Amino acid sequence: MLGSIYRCWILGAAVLVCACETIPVEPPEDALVLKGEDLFFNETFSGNGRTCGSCHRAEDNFAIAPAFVATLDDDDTLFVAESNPALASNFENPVLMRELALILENQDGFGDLENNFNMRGVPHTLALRTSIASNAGPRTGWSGDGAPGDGTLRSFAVGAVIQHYPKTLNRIDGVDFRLPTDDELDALEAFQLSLGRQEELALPLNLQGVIASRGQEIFLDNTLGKCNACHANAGANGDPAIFGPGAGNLNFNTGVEALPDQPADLTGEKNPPDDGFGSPGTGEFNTPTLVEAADTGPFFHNNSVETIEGAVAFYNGDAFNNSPAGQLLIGATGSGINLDATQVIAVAAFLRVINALENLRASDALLETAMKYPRTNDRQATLILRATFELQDGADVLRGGGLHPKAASDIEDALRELDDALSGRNPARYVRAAREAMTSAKNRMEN
Amino acid sequence: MRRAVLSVITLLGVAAGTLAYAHPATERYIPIGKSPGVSNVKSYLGKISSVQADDSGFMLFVKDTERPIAITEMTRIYVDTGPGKTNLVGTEQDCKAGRVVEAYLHEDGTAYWIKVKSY
Ligand code: HEC
Ligand code: HEC
Repeated sequence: MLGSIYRCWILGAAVLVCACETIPVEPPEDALVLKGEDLFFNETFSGNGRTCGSCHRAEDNFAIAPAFVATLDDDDTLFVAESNPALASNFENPVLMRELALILENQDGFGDLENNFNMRGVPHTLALRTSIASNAGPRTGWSGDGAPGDGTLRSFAVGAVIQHYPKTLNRIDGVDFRLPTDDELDALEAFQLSLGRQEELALPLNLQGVIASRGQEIFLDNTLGKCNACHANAGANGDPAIFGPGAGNLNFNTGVEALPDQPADLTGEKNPPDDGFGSPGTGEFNTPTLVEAADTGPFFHNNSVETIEGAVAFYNGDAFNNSPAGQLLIGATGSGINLDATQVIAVAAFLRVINALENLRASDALLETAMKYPRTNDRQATLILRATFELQDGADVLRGGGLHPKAASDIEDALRELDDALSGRNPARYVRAAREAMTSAKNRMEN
Repeated sequence: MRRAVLSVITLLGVAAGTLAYAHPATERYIPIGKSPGVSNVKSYLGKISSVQADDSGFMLFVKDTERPIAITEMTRIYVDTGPGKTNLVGTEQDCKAGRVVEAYLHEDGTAYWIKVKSY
């Protein structure tokens, strides 16, 4: 429902009179983005019933974690392999899906379905505008080579339909699914690019908490944390001072595949090694953004580490320091990464705080758009609801690290206001109060 | 750290080739002429006019010009066996004179992938 104002605006333009509005009103949201959103959540492309939203959940940061999978009904389209006999083998592994939110990908081809597959986590689709471009071309997916065709985000949806939507493993266009049209690809791309952060942070931020501040210093220090070299400004791009201007989103073999005791292996389920970029693969994976990390665990391409503290600690271990990227770092700086427990916690605190700040920014933007709609409009309610998902994450991410309890309380106050906004008839008042509490939370963390 | 890292990046570029950021696996199931951002833009669609004796490639007749297409070990060959049938993984031998082909080439003229109609 684009609202009566919009319809009236079109009508007004056509007949030059309009009873309810005399000046043309800008629609609050871009029509192509809205079309893309509808396709993302509702279009099954005549396949097995799944949509992009089956795995990239709006309620779960456009990703999906094991805890969220556990809340789903058995007839959810995510579990289609459990109900459709044609998809019973070699399409998904229900045990790994339910326990670890892992999805089966035939990254190296569909020739030997029994043996040739990888189990990967679902990455979020936030901040894509900042995290795909590189000097060498677009990099999508965990190994930077996820899209068919020209390899762009726009083309990604075609590969997703072929991999995840078929009714049978024959994967015949027009029988097992239909491939998206050019117009649909345009719309899906526009929607995905609209999600989340649109620009890089400029570190250092003026953080108020001492632990997160120290974490930021360690993160930025090329002789200590060394994180910023690959995750410049806590994003997905290589530091231009090291890799040259426009290097962009780079691939590295950081040794995640070499981790001992990976959860997927501990289950005893078949889990072939993932050779990453290319096929046969180079062992490299694509650098993800970190601003969006703390509330989108488990971490790494194989969901092998549950907590953000664990993901930071990964860099101290043998798997990283013996990896090609770790060896490169040792060659270039004389040492690998070797943080003590207090330092690991500080870097994780930094990642938690910048994540909570992003939750606040994103929810504020959603609320601003929501309030451009007329009162109690369905779309307004959807956007307010989405703002609550962000805020809940912000509170959880802070509480989970024992950080900024007062800011977390402010966020919880804002959530109560938004609950009232969703149930009351005059949301504006509650939204205003929520945004005030959100500003207070932000100022406690950064100013 | 600058020099060491830079040299690795250079290596990376060589290994990656020019088209490797796109994914050739799902390409198998994309019909001839429908590869997003590639068909009608960067690929060649035509008929095979003659095949090299050692199967190392063929001449493709595209509109009114002949173009050599070189097949390497890394070239993916996918076969469209007809409407309502699943596409198969093929070999050089599927590239026979007279068949309709779409070829996507690396800058050096070798084929990244080839789709051939076998009917
Ligand atoms: C069955 C679950 C599932 C469905 C359905 C699904 N995806 Fe994904 N998505 C994944 C997984 C797993 C990955 C990681 C793939 C890889 O590593 O190449 C992914 C990766 C992505 C990425 C890459 C993000 C990045 O940071 O590079 C994009 C974009 C994306 N999906 C978009 C879509 C779109 C659009 C659709 C619907 C047409 C869709 N997905 C449907 C599971 C899914
Ligand atoms: C040599 C480049 C490089 C360096 C240095 C580096 N990273 Fe990473 N980081 C990566 C790559 C590549 C991945 C993806 C690995 C994978 O999934 O296999 C990654 C993944 C992550 C993830 C998981 C994100 C997610 O969404 O799953 C976190 C968290 C992370 N890095 C934090 C850090 C921190 C903290 C530091 C510094 C202590 C650091 N990184 C240093 C390249 C690097």
